[in-house]
Amino acid sequence: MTTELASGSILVVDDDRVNRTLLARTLERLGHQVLTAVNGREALEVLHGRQPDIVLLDIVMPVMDGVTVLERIKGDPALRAVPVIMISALEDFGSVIRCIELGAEDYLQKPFDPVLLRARIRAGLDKRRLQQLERARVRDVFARFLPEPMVEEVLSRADGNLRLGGVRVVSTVLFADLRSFTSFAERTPPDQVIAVLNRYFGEMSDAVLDNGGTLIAFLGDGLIAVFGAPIQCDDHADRAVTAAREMLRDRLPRFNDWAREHGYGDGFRMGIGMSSGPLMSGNVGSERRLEYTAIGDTVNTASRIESLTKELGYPVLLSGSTLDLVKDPPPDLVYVDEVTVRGRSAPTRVWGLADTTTTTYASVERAETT
Amino acid sequence: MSGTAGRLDDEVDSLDPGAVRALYELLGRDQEALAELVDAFVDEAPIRLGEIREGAEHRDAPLAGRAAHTLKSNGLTFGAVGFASLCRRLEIAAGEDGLAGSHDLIEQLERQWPHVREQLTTLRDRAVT
Repeated sequence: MTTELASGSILVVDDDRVNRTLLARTLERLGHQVLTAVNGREALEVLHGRQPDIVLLDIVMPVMDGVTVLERIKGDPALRAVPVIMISALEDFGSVIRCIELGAEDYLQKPFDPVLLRARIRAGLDKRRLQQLERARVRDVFARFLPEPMVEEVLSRADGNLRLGGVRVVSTVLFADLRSFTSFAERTPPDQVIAVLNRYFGEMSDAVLDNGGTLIAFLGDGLIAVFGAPIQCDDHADRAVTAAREMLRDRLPRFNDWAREHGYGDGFRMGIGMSSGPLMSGNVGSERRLEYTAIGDTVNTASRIESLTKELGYPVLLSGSTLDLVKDPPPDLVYVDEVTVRGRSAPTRVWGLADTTTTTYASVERAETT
Repeated sequence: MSGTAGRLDDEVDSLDPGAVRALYELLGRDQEALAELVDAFVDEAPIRLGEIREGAEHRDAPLAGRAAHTLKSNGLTFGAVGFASLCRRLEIAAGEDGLAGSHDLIEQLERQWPHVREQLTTLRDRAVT
């Protein structure tokens, strides 16, 4: 029984013109697309321009030998998944073993045996196809809570079980809460409640992802996001403040217009709290359910600051720790108060984002609490 | 040792028909591809032979070793077994003692090459059956 050999792109790296030509013609005849490089350095240049499905790599080469090229490939997160098959002479067996230990997929001995050549290429292509399928599946999962540009980088850092090892990072945590939603939900049919929530979360998730944040969780009508994790960035506080402003000034009014059009009340309000500092983040869970999470005092503080938005009359509040990290303090930021956050002994200074609707919001909130 | 081996290695090296046939099959019985491969060997071999001599004269064993390694591989691909065997001995010598005392071997290899080239040219010019 013969198995049809799926075609792929193969990079042949060999300084020997005879071998290079022989492999190129043979592989082309089998339906593959062949790229060639005459030494290790040229191979790395090709690999950074266009990633093939398999690399056939000679061991003995001038300029940069095959072992060094293999080390570079396996040390580069963007390249290490590409299967590498070493080309060797009978006497290179010691080097072959070293290459297998370094992560080479297999080896081919010169002169080439056509059956072995086909088998090695087929196995390499099968592995590549499986990798690509798995990567696409995981990419779909990650793309739901990570900004698109971050997905590839996170994928390259995840281990074989696609877990992100725990890291301690300085980040900004954002809590957003939809006000008066519980009473709305109690008097509204379930399918409409879910429709409203999905619309709301759709808008707010985009505000997070468009500003480079990571969605941690939806809890009831609340949303938790983190900026600066899992991939660290210097401007996480600015990004969080920008996202909060976008939520409040652009996305909430748009959501309320939609809600009014559909007869879901006169409009919802929201509270947003932010705090910055060290936290631990990583993927947690079981094989069957994996979630990205953030843990630490910064997360708790952000949650408690969000709960203060109601009593302090500001829809957006941020802690002094976030303001300290904002590179360009926005002109609409106003000092609100020094408060003692539950669970912390030292008082925390709190700042609010002034808004054209602040007075109305505050007066409405106060009216509701009296 | 080199004297005995020299007499054997000076014998005209014939291309192994089995190896040539295997190569032809590997290339899908493509005459053009076979001719291209012969041309590559015929073009490159003098350069590699030059590198072996240069490596020996200038004590650049890695250069000579790599050139011998390549010629050995090419020789085996076309079934030039005796030629490949000489290359292998030179490759080992380059790794072990930096080609000291390998002048005889190099000369034998240089004498072998025209015979190999002639057979390669014949192979290129006639139909392989």
